[in-house]
Amino acid sequence: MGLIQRTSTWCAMVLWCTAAMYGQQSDAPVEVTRNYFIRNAFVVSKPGVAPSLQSIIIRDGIIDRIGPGLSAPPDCKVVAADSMYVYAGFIDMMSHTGIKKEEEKKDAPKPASRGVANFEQSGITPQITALSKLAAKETSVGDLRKAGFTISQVFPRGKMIAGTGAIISLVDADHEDKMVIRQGTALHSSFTTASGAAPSTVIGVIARYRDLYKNVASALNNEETFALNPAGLKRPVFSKELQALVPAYRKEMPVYFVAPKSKDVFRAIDLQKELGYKMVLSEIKHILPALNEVKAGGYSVLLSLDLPDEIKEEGSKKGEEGDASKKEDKGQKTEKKEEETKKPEVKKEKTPEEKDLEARKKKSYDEYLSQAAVLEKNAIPFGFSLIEVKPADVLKNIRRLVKAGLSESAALAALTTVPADWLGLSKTNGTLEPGKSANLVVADKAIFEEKSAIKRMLVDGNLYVMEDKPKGEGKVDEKGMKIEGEWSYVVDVPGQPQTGKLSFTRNGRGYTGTSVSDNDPGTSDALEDITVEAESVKFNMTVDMGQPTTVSFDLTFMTDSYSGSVVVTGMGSFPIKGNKIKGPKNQSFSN
Amino acid sequence: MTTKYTTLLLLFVFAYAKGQTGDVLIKGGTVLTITNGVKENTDVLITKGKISAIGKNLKAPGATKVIEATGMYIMPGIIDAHSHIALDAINEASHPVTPEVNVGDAINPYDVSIYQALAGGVTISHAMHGSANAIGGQCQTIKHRYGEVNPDKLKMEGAPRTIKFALGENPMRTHGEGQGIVPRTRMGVEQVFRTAFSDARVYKQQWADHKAGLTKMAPEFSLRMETLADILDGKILIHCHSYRADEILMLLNVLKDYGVKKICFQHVNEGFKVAPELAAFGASASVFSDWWAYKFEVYYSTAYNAAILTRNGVVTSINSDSDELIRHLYHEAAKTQRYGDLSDEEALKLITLNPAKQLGIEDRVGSIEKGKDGDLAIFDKHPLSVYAIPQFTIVDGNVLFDRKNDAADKRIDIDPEEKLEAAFYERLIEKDNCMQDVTETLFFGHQYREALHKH
Repeated sequence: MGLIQRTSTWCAMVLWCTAAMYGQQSDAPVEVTRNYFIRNAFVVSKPGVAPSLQSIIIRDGIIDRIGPGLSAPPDCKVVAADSMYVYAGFIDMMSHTGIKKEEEKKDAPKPASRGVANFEQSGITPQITALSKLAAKETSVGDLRKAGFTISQVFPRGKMIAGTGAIISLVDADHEDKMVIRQGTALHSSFTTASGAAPSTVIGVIARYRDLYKNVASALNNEETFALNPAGLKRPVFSKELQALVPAYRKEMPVYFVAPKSKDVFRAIDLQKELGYKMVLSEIKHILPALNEVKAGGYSVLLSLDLPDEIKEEGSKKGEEGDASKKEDKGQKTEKKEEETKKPEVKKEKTPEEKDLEARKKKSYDEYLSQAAVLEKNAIPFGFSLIEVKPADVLKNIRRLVKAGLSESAALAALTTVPADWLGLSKTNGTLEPGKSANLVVADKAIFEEKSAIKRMLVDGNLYVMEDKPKGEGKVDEKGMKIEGEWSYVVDVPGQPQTGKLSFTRNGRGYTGTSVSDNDPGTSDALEDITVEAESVKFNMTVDMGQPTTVSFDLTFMTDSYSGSVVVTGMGSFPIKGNKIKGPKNQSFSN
Repeated sequence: MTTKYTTLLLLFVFAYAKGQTGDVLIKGGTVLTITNGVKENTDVLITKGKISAIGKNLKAPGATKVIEATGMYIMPGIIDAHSHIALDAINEASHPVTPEVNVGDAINPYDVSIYQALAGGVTISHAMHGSANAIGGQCQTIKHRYGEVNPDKLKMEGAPRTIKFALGENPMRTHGEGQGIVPRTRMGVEQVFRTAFSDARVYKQQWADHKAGLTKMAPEFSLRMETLADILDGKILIHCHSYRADEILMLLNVLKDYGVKKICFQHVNEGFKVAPELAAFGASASVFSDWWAYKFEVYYSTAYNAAILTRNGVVTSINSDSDELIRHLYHEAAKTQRYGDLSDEEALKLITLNPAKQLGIEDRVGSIEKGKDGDLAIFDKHPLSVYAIPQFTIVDGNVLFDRKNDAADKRIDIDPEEKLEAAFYERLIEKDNCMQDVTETLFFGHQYREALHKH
């Protein structure tokens, strides 16, 4: 223990600051008229064309005219966009935007014993639709819109088979139905294991897929036999799960298979070859080792925009000093005093071995970032998925991909024309042309330039204006749950519930924390990367199980209790819950 | 795209540029053929991954790689009949019967243990499901083609299907204790086998009836039952985790009742007590050289086990079940000369031809014969000498370990976000692969650190 314990408080703080800056924009829709005139902007009508100075007339949600030298019609509100850049609205192909975060059902029936889990306990819920989980008021809708997106294909959260997706417009709506463009668009699948039930490993999940698709075939045959002449036959047992898998089985609905690591990609390809559905490799983080197989199989790819953290260049003392000064700003005077009494840490010269390891890490980092460029070069169709990336990081990260060799036109295509094509929206979206939906992005600079910022959005003809309104310091805290204090925990490991205590201490705008197991009250493990967003609290812990093993917590806090899940690398996911033991009183934390 | 990235990509895709098979000529060594005695000053030629000639003064086309092996010893690549390296999942511990799962679906070609095994002359291992369940998952015989990134390319093509069974404490503790289900006792374990086999018979009959048109509606498909039916049909070799003699006899009786003939007992620490019975059944045994007393059922053991089994005519191998032991299986085999006086050939067979037989691949590997796979291990001294150090390890004619060209960092897959540690972590407990992924050995309990081996 302790060898790799490193609380990444700084990391958590950086996240906080980004979130804070991001929250400083308001984008209340302006509803005077639905006719707009976008004046004298550099219009990039589609990927690969040079920006040209034009104006755009929009009437009731449709692009009416685009051209140079247009003058403002009297019925249109003028949107000042002089020398700004206008693009077709971005289209997200995979995220949980607008999907409610659900509390775990408290009285959900437990599997009678391991292995005899029902479909739901096993994480097989293809019958769940994104629409049934959609909430118009979810803040994630506005967050993604601020990042330039006008349309999103959203999926319910879940495990092995989470459910089917829906394509939604990212408008502010008073009812979910008004957002829906189409539903039942794709099936979300992954290698996620069930918690406390079968399948508990990736081999269990793969075996279960084989079982499922065989049984869909078998159920269809039986249905047919029964329909032809039911006399003397036992009625086939209805299964809503198998029924919901039929479109994927018949290749009428694509399967978006989440396969982040290259090993997952190989496994997903093997399984697809066996079971035959139409597959989009999704949320891909590392694909190069499987490039030949991906190409040969003709698969489409959704690259995750959750890129590896940037590697800081050697000797950038500046950054460290910057961090230190930030810390002072937080007014932690007491802690600072303690720090001053400590001996200043002497920077050790790196050993050749450490240098080698760092070089290999850098090489790997470069490889990861070059992947989009490599896919482009190999003519493998690709877009992006946004499951794990923060909306505020989307453009920033795409710029990193462009820096690593991806062409700007391919990057723009992956945000506009490619998703429009894949989602069957090309006639209405993806490019700026008269007759298409008024979904567009206005930025103050070309979007792939470092400091470009989105200033206006039109979503289905509704105007959203992003103005910077500085917010007071420290307000961020109110958005996050106050979790300081001590909390009990019970991890539901079948047959052997694990109990103990979690403690959180405020540290500037973030938290530090420890975990102590009741089995070993003398030892505490540090909690790493604690992030708090509204009631969602996430952090990691490294425990020694013969080798350092990461334990990831994803918790939803209520006033005096919390619940969620714990993922132990290589072992699976387990439900966890707990109550407050001591700590300050919580105000209501709903926004 | 910059040339920098193009180069990177080329490097990556051709990391295993050696291709599928290779050519190599090994000159002038002492060849331990296993099946045809010891040949001094002899050359071995591998062409397109297969041994094409064994003899004096062999010639090879100009471009062929040549290893000067004068004074060295050449033996068949070592085969480990019980290992858990190169796997991302080992125990699907959610049910006492899980033959539907297959560790071949979770091969991790990036596991650096594969390279460490090569550094010990091991070219093939039997990547096994764990011992949490009475009937565990299917296993996968892998070739140590380190550098290959496609998991499927590690699978030894054509190797027979194998499956893990387990007796005794592990399935009892994982399932019975704390859950109130079968098996909670050793008799419960027996009943798990009998129930599973009986169910599979019924299932087989149901599908046979359906296919013959006797029933119109198809029965539910079950990969679990399909696999059990394949075991009954002799299509899958059983490898059973076992310790106690009474349980070994129990399983032999169960197999007799259901007409299953092929089984290899793993660990089988009390095998010496029932060696004649094992031989009579035709069962084989894969043992540790001298590892025991890590839990109650593993106290009655002896280092003479391998020798006693061998002398009784049981096909016996010595395995590692460990990513550390796998690096020196030649030492483990040599211990049978101290404890049991086995001959050189008998001792070497324990880690070559015999495990090959247990995995059903003896026609391909396990001895140095013309036509067999070009899998070889080359040592500076006789491999049964305690001073022996592996020099080269060859798989399919590709030199994958060369002691003189042994880079410090042999990892293939580097996570760009990983935290760098220049040193290896100290192991607080010895890794317990056989029970990996079993939820009871969970993280929070630091008592786990004190846990004993649970093989």
